[in-house]
Amino acid sequence: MANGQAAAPPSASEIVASLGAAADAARQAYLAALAANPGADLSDLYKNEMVAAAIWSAAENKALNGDPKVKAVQTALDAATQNTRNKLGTLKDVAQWIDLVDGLVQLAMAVSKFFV
Amino acid sequence: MLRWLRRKNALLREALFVILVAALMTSGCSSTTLTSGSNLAKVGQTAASQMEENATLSSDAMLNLRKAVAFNDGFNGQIGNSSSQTFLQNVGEIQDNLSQYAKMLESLSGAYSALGDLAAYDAVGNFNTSFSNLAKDSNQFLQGIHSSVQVGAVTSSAVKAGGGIVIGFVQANEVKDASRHIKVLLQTVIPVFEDPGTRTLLILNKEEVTGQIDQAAQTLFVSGVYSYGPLLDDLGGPMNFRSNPKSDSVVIKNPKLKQGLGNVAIEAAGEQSSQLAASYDKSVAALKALVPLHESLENGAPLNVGTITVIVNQLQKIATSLQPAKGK
Repeated sequence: MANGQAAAPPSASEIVASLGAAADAARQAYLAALAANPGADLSDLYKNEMVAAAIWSAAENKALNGDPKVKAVQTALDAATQNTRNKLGTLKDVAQWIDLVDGLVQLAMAVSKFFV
Repeated sequence: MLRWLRRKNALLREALFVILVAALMTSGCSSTTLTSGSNLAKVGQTAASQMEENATLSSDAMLNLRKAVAFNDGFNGQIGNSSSQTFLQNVGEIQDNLSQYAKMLESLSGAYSALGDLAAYDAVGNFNTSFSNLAKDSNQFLQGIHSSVQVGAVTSSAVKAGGGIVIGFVQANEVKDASRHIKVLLQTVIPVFEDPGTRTLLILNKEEVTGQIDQAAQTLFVSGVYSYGPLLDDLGGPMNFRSNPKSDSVVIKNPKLKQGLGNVAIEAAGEQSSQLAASYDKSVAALKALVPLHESLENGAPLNVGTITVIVNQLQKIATSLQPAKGK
C-alpha cells in the first residue's frame, strides 16, 4: 500500500464468493469443452469441476482461520477464474481445458486451507 | 343537597360533552389510521408472500439436484464420485439453514395479515402471536447465517390491548403500535440482508444448485436428445418464424447451427442465474420500501404504495421467468 498500511483482510463471504466463482468457471469450462467436443471423454474435467463445487460448498459452512496470507491466494484464484472465463469462447482442446481447470482447482484447494 | 346534585349533574354533562367532542375529533384521525393500517397490511402481505415465493427453493430442488448430479456422474463414468457426494451433503446442510429465510418471509406475511385483522376488528391477540412467530423466525434465520444481529427487546414486547371509552381511538393506537413493531424488526434485518456476505450466501447457493441442474440439461441438449424447436421458435418469434417437423434434422446436419443453438442454451442458463440475483435484490428493495409506509401510517400521512407495488410487480415477473426452473 502506498501509505504503508496493510489492506484489510478479505471477509469469509468474499473468499466464499471467489470459490463460488471458481466453481462456476470450472462448470462453464466443462460445458464449453462438451459443446466443442461432443462425445469426447471429459471425465477428468468433470472430476475437477466437482472438486471445485465440493470446496465451495464446504467453505460456506466454515470460518476463516484469520491468516492474512489468504488475500494473495485469493487474488491468484480470482485471476485464474477470470482467465478461464476469458477462454470460454475460444478454447476447444480438451487437454488444454483439463490443464487450465486443474490449475484453477489447485488454487481453490490452497484457498480452502484457510478455512477451519 | 339538591343544589349539590344539580351541580354534580352539570359537571357530569360537561365532562361527557368534552369526551364526545374529543371522540368526534379523534374519530376522523382514527378512521384514517385504521384505513391506512388495512392498506399497509394488504400491500405488506402481498410483498412478503411474493418475496417468499421468489426465495423458496422447493424440496423438489434437492431431488432435482440429486438426479442431475447422478446423471452428470454417470455420463462421465464417475458413479460414486466422492466430491459429488460431499457437494450434495454440503448443499443439503446449507439448504436446511436457508429454508429459514423463506420461513421468516412467510411469518412476515402472517404479521401483515394480523395487522389487517387488528385494523379491521381489534385482534390484538392475533397480532401478538403472529409477531412473536416473526421475531422467532427472524432470530432463527439470523442464527442460521451466523449473524451477530438479533431481533431485540423492543420488538419482542407485545402490543398492549386497549379498553378505553373511545374504541376507534384505542384501536388506531394499537395499529400504530403494531406497525412500529414490524418497522423496527424490518430496520433490524434489512442491514443484514444488504450485507454482501448474506447476499453471497443466499444467491450463490441457488446459482450452484441451478448450475448443476442446467449442466445435466445442457449435456443432454448437446448430445442431441432434445428437439431444437423451442429454441428456434424463441429466436424466430419476433419475426413470426416457426420451426417445422424437419427443423431438427436440418440442425443436426449443420454443426454451425448446433453450436449457435448450444450457445443460446448457455446464454439462457446465464440469464436464469442473473434473475436469481435480481430476485434477491428486489426482495431487499421491497423490505426497504415498506419502512416509509410504516412511518407514514404512524405520522398520519397518506400511504404512497407506488414504489412497493412496482417492486412486487417486478418480483412477479422474475418469478414467472424462473417458472420452468421452479422445481429447482
